[in-house]
Formats: sequence, C-alpha cells, structure tokens
Amino acid sequence: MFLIDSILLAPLKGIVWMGQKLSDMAQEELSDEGRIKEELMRLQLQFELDEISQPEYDRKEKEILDRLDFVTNEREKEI
Amino acid sequence: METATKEGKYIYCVIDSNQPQSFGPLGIGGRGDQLHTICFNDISAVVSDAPMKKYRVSRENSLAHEMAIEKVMTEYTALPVRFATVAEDQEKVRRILTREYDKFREMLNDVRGKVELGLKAMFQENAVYKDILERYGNIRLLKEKLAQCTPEKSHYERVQVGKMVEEALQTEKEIVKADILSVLEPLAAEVKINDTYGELMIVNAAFFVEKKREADFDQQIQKLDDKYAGKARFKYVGSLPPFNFVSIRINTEDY
Repeated sequence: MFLIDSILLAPLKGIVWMGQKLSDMAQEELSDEGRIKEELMRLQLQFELDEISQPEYDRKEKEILDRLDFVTNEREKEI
Repeated sequence: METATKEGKYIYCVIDSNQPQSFGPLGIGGRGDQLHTICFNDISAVVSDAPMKKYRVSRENSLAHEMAIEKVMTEYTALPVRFATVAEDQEKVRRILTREYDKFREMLNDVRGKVELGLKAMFQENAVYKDILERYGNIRLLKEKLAQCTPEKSHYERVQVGKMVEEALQTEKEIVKADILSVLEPLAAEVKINDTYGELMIVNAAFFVEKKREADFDQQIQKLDDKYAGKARFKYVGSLPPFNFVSIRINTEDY
C-alpha cells in the first residue's frame, strides 16, 4: 500500500494526497460538463508545464473530449 | 451515413481596419484556408472558409484559433471572437458587423494599446513541504510521532496531519499570492484571477497592461522570480490576445 511506505520516508506528499482523495471520493465522478472541462484545463496545464509528453497529452485529451461530446450530446437529446 | 457539411465563415476576431486583405493560410482545420477580412465601415471581421460543424476544444483547434488572432494582432487591434463561431456566409458576417458596429467600435477603442499577460506561479514541491515542516512545529511533532506507529493504528491521525498540511499549504499560498499581486496589480489596467489547478499552484492570473508599461511589468516579474528562486516557479506568457478581458459572443442564429 502506497501510504505505508511513503509516510516514513517521504516528505508529506502522501498524506496530502490522501486528504485529497478523501474529498474527491465525496464528489461524483463523470457527471457534468463543468467537471470534464476542468479536467481538460488541468491536463492542458500539465502539458504546458512539461509534466506530460505530447503523445500522452493527445491520448488523454481525446479521451476527455469524447466524454465531453457524449455528455453534451446527451444533454441535447434531453432538450 | 455521412452528409456533406456546409461551408461557412469561421470568425476569429474583429479589427479596426477597412482594408480587404489576407493574413495567410492559417485557417482552422488544417486545410490551408486563407484568413481574410470582411469589411463594414472602418471595421472588419477576420474569417476563413470552414465547415459548419461542431469544433472540439482540442489543443490543435484552440491553437489554430489563437494563432490566427495573434497573427492579426501583430498589425491591428483585435477583439477576439469566441471559439467556434461560424456564420453561414459573407452576407451574414456583414450583417453582424452592421448591427453591432457601435458596440465593436467602442470595445476596440477600449482595448487599443493594451496587451494581455498571463502569469501562473507554482510552489516547488519539495521545497514547500520542507519549508512547512520546518516552520510548523505542530505538524513536525505529529509527523515524528506517527512515524513510530503502524498505519493501522494511526489512520485517524494520518488524515489529521494531511488536513493540517493542506491548511498550512493554503496559508502559504495566500501569503505569496498577496505578495505577487501587490507588486503587479498597480501596473495593470485590469486583472483577472482565474481558478488554480493542482495543490501547488499559488496564483493563475491574467493582466491587461498598457503596452508602454509592459517592460516595467516584465522587470517586476523578473524580480519576483529572483525573490522566490528555489521556492516557487513562474510561468509567464506575453502579448496574448485579450481572451480574459474581451470575448465577443455571437449567436449567429440571431442575425
């Protein structure tokens, strides 16, 4: 398990990560447009900051945009 | 299955020029469509031929949109039009210009001579956590104590420390953010603070700055970068189209 090792060795990252995870779990996933767009913004930022490579960016972007299309199509159907 | 997509005019921006002219094959979609003007009075829309379809907000499309406007901005004052605005034909674009002329004119006057500058500041991961451990005695003590317990027995405390670190990080961010803004805000005509992403980002802001103060602004950023060397890093992008301060939303169905 990730936390067991990291807490002794690492700075404090593991713990923050855990706090983050807990609050994430409280929120629903994959529902609304706003959240997906936010995900895309995060991804763009990671790319801008050279945290991920171009192929990785492209792959994730496609996945997010497909989901965004799906959600907006569903919404249009409802109207 | 596939039906032919109708061709329309993708609108990038509105500029204060009445010259019929072309800005190169920079149209969205990678077909090499020419960017060109459609004029009314002393203003023009910069457009390219493009299919009337849904445009995904992919990096490729966003960049094409942005680069087209940047190209035009090297010569003219430009009002960016919202991404993926496509009108049926030239006549429709002209109708939009005609009907919104006064508004566009006023906005152009307002934007003239200013540039958008973007700044993101992020804590350096290792440095900031080390700093927090050094300066927040209660966190350090609790962490040392926890190091001697098994995770199973100290689950609650671990979450507790996590919360304390998040709070400390938040406090540190607020302090640095206030410092950065106190230096830069007075140099800008307008400031827009955007959402931050991830746990390390301190500030994500756009500044609308008079061109004559741009050098001064650059210098202040340089000073901040020196001041926070090793602690925070800055990502500074210059002379952008004023996306954060003007964005024309045109509902093409209304014209």
